[in-house]
Amino acid sequence: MWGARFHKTNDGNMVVDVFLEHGTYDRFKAFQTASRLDETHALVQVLQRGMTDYWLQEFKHLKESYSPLEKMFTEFKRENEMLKAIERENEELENILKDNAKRRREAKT
Amino acid sequence: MKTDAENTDNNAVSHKGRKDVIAALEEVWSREKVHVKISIPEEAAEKLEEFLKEKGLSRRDAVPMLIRYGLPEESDEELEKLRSEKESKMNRIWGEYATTKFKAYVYFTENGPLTRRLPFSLAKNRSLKRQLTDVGLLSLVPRDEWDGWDDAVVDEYFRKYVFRSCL
Repeated sequence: MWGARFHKTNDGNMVVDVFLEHGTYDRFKAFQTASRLDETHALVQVLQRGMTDYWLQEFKHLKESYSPLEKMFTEFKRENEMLKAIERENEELENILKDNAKRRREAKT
Repeated sequence: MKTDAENTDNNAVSHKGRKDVIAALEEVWSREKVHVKISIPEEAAEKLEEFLKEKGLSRRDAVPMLIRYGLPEESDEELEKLRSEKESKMNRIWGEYATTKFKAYVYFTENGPLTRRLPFSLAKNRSLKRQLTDVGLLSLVPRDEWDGWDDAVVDEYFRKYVFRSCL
């Protein structure tokens, strides 16, 4: 039921059966009114423009999602370095304690 | 032990329950959307189908998206600016986006096991620092950002990297 479906009609046309967000629907009705087209011709024009501008709109979305991705990358990287630093420091501190114990043993003998 | 009849009944109930949940979700979802049924000429439908096939897009998601794309919110001037930006930057941004996404994924994947070990690593770190202090090596005890981490900070790491709530 969700998304879009096509049904073929008896006259050979296709019915686009689709759920649109309110904003998109309002823009479609505004476009239809402004262009003085019936629903069919308005939808054909809109779909045609959507196909023509497909890569342009994809580029726009890519640009919009790049900044949050970059932020996420920086955060993951910083936390990765921190988590590794804790384990690295543990090894270093263990070695210091071992060396210290060894020196003390040697001093006793 | 449940009988076969009881199991069949339970399956029927759970199937019905699932259908009810789906129906309820569809009801909520359709209230947030406008159901549109518009006839278009066969030629236009074929062109659309060909476009979807060529781009490997599903009809279900792509048709509402193409309608959205065909009704841009930007002015013609803004679109023209975007068009010339696309010409000069598309390849570079695609490349950077793909690389950054991959690197982010690698760090995210690595952070999962590191986070699972975090409670142990933190406890060990604190114990080692205490031992160094006890043997008189206070000057060798480093001061770190994680010294002040409490359970809430560790839980946040688990939420993000183990239970993956940030994705």
